[in-house]
Amino acid sequence: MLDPELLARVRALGLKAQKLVDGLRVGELASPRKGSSVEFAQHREYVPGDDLRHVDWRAYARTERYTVKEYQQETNFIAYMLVDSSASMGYGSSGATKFDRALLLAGVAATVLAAQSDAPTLQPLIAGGTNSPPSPSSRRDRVERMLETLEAARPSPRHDDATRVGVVAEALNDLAARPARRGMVMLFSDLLEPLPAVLDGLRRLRVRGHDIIVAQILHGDELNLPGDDLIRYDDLESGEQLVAQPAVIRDRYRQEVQAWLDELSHGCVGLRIDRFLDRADQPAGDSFPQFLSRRRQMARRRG
Amino acid sequence: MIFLAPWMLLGSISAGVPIALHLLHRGQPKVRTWAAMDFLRKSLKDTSRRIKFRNLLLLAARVLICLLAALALARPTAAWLPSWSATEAVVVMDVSASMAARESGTTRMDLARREARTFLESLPTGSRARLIAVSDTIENESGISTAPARAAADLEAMTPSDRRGDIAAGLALAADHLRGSSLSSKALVIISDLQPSGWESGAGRIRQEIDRLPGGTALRVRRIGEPAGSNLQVLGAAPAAGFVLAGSRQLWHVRIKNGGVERATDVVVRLGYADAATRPDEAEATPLGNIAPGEERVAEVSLQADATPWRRVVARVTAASDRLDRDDAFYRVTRVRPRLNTLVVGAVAPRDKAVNLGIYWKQAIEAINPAIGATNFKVLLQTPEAASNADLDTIDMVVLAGLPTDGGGAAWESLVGRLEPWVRRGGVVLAVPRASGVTKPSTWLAPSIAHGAAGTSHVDITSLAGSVLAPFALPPLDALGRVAIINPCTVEALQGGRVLARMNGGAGAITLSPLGDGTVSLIGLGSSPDEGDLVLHPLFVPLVQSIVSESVGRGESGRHSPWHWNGEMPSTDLVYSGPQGLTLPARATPNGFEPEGLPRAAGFWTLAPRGSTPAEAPDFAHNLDAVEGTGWSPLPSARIDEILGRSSALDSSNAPMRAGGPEALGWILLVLLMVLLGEGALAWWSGRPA
Repeated sequence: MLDPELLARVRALGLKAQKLVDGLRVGELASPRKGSSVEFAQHREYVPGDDLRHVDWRAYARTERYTVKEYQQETNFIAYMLVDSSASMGYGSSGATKFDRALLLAGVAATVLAAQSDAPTLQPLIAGGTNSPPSPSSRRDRVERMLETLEAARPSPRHDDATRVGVVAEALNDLAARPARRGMVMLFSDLLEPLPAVLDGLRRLRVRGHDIIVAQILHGDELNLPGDDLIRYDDLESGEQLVAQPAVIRDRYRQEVQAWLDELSHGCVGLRIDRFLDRADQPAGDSFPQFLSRRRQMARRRG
Repeated sequence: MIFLAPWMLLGSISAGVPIALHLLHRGQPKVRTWAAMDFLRKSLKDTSRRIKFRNLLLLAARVLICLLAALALARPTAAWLPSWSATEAVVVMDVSASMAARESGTTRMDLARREARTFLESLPTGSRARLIAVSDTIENESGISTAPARAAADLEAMTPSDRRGDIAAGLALAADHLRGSSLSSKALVIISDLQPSGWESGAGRIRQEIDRLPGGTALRVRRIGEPAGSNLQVLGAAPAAGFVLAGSRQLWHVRIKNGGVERATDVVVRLGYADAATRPDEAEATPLGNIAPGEERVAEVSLQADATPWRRVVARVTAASDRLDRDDAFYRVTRVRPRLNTLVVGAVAPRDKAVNLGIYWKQAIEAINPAIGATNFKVLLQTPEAASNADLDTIDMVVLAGLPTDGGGAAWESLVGRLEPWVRRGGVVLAVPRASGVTKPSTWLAPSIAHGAAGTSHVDITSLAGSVLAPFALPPLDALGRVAIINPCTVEALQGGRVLARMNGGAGAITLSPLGDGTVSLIGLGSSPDEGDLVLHPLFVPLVQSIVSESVGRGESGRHSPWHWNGEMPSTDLVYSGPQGLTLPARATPNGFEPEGLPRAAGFWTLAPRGSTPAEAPDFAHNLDAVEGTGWSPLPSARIDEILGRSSALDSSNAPMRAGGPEALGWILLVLLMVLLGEGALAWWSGRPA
């Protein structure tokens, strides 16, 4: 079930490609390669970050409320939405796992994209599974079916070292190798796998001209390592067991996590990839809209 | 280190608690599924060694806390720890005879002095000390508590006595002293060789005195000496006949015992006179070879007697392996009799008037003759009628063989009547009553004589224990108990006398009673063959000899008996002079002149007016108590603990004994506090990130 409030906020912000992408229905809309000619679509309430040029001052004079005009994008695009379904995404309390959060965010994004007449395609990333995404579509029923398929790929703990190869990196490389049209790639993952391989996959996609958004979903526990007593940690993926006293190693652990996040962030910035971190243990509804707002501002600054 | 409450050491088992908790805690961690294993692995890799080290330190600290707590509760006294506060110390020194034993080039007494000195010098500043030297009484003591250095100097004046030990006597004084002390820290140290003679006899009193000690008194018992070695003792020396006749060479019996734990080798017994003119090497020597531990032997040594009326006889034993000299000599003042004339008075046999029934007794006494051919040993046999007019001044012993219980008529009654004053002057009477059908109290002896049960009876040999007849309770002399006595008479001791043997049923069979300076022995075992088998039995002669020896020898010399003076002697300001220049005041008593207190040293003690030279003045012999040096091994520590009622007070270590005491508790608590603080810091540190 998609969060209506989140959906409304994301829809209000819109989810637009920041880079040149190829439209799905060529000729039907103006070519995106010639600029940003638009057609009025609707009014919506002003939110901080909106371009003041789009504020409808006439409407303000009538209603004393700030509204902005929205224009329909001429060119729709394909959004490859990759949702990590590896076992590590199953971490979290029941109904609030990282996968649940990824499903929510992907669902909202896909719904918004479809509403924009863009064509999302949702693909679960499963170790050993097929990497062929379903056909993109902006039809609502197709999007819903893809979401159902995605939900069916809910991760379960696996104790197999073979899964540690790197599901995300493999999927990214596979997508980059496929002769797909340039579009938007949205990755929903915790990225808990060898970072160089992930960054390499992202680089390949970037080279292919895709506009990439990385939604990194982590649980607060993974950031802070809570607890004081002796704990035996069972790896969700390999079944490996480690015994540790969190209180003793917490600082060291945080340093490791922060270094990893810094390295990831640095890599994304270098590849001009937009990335945001969403915590599965916190209420949904903030990080994604804030990210989209920030993304729009950045896009405007870039000009 | 000595523990005053060693059972609290069981608390050290609690040291296993942190270990068990550590293992249990480690074995059952909470389980959590996890995704970010790489970070965890890296963090652990960097910190695991440090964490293990911290945990081990923490575990060690907690174990140490448990051990220290148990140690503190066990109240250790540690000689190597300095005391905290001034101490009231009492040192009870065992100065019994066994403390004179040699120990590797020195003596036990020297070792004891060294231990006491080390202890006294280690007392903290402001301490007070009191020395108590004790054998079986308080020998010497510093009186009031004094500075430890002063008490240490007094140690030199302490020497072993020739007396047995009785630690309880010293402990009573020590307990009184400590109870009156105002110092809070108190210590009682007993330095002893733990001989059974000094501890077992007063075990109950020792426990009482220990219980009287003020609470918190540190009690330490220091054992001195090693149990190894042999120890020969002379238990006694006596003429074989029981008396000594002038001018004859007589056999003496010298009883020897090895009270040590090892074999005594090359044992030689010497017997001689302790006169200045007689050198020890001129004494009569008898080699005995080797004597096993615990073995007792009787050496037969001959000794020539001269005409001197009183002689000081000394029996000595020497052995290469002996370690205690004090009990190697036995002293005896012996009367040398110029003669022993015996008058045997017997009735004429009813069937043969030519036979005197006293013949059996005459023959038995003649067999006693200590020296073959001696002319001053005579035995006469007479009828009552003839004996009634005999000159008793030429007679030393009278045997009344077959004295009728009804008085026996005028002759018997006349004779018996004359004998009473004669006995009081020193005569010896052996009366053997004969049942005559009537008991008639016609003489001074008659009340002690009566008819026994009719029929055959026997001597109860179990009644012989403790008397001079005790050897007749052992094989082969125990055949006495099977000798049939027909219609025995019962005899009773005169006032002050004692029963030496009883018949089956408890009636007196043989008694021996003093009367004035003489002795009266009553023998109710039959005087002739028609009264039983005794007079014809092989045991008859040794039995008569034993009775005669005891009767004649009585009063000649007692090991602790002061001289009975009959002559003119000032009754005031008399002193006994003894060995080592020791003196003892003497006081007149009905029994003679007794020393005020027992002599400290064994040997001959001579009575004389103070200031005069004791030459031929009367004296008496004082000997070492036979129990001292017997059972040479010290009491085991378990027995000492049992006697004291406290465990682990015994300190058998070879380390010098220093003042310690419950102060060790303070040190341990200090260490415990430091470890607790360290444990807290360590626990805080362990909780911190590695």
